[in-house]
Amino acid sequence: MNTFGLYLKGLRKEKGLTLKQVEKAAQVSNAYISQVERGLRNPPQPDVLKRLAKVYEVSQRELMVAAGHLEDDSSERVTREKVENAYKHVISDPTYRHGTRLKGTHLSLDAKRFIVEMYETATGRKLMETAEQK
Amino acid sequence: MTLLDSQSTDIENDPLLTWCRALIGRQADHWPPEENVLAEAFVTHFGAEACRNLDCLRQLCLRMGIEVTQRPMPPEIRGHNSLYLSKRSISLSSHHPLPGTDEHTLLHELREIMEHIFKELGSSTCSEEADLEMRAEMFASYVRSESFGRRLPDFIEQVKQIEMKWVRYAAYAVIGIGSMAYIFTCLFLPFVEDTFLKELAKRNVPT
Repeated sequence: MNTFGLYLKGLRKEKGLTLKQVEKAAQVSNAYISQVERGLRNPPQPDVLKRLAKVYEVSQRELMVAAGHLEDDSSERVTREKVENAYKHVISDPTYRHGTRLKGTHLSLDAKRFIVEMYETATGRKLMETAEQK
Repeated sequence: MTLLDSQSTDIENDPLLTWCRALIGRQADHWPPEENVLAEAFVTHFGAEACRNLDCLRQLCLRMGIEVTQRPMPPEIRGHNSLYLSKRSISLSSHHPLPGTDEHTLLHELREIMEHIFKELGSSTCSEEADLEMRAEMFASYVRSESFGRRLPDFIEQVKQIEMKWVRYAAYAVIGIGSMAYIFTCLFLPFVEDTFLKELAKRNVPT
């Protein structure tokens, strides 16, 4: 299954960039990116991912993990799960209503963490700390 | 506990809730109203001066019991609003790529807070979150252009006082061109903002 390619294509679409625009900004051939997106080529090497990360505004580490160059180490996975769980709690709390003006449609982990922090400030509840104690 | 329960003792002193209720009553036959209608009603009720700039909008929010703050946010978030019991707040990103972004974002967040109130009153204007995003963008654009349009006669009146003919004509020209440019940026700010940010991304400029 072409998970990485779909992920990469999703990032490009969110930014509203064409393959040619990515080629120009990241200095990577548009034909090559297209093949990676379609799963016809293996995920790019770290130096290419570094340039793509800048264009797509994601961390290089995130791309490296998605490409399988880096292990999603346990502490990072725990943090991600903690934030995701806290975020789920926030959006399911009927007493708390919130909204955001977003650029694009994708909520990064940092964005979810921010929303959780805003919830904690408003309600005085500490979701992240609770999760850490567990 | 619902929003209305938590505010039941203070409804009379809540200008936003009072206005939302009155609007639902007035527009009952045409609910939900178009965003331009909502924006027009908003500016008529709260005044064009109240929407003049960020400081005026902050003051207006304060009167509505909404705390407005500015803080660093992740790059994809421009603003955030929340309602918890009787506490309402709006946060704006401290990174503002273009002039007018803060005012637009504040009005966008205010529209979302209004939607929470409409919902509590049993009169939502949309069911999908994506629709609300779109509506809030339109509301913000319309309020800014509407309030500017209503302040325009004051500018023209001031220009009329200019005695030197050619200076007066020049001032009219500046007002005419400036007004068109301003209204254009109000209405198309989300598009301009996206294009601007994409251009920065293409050039690898951190936003």
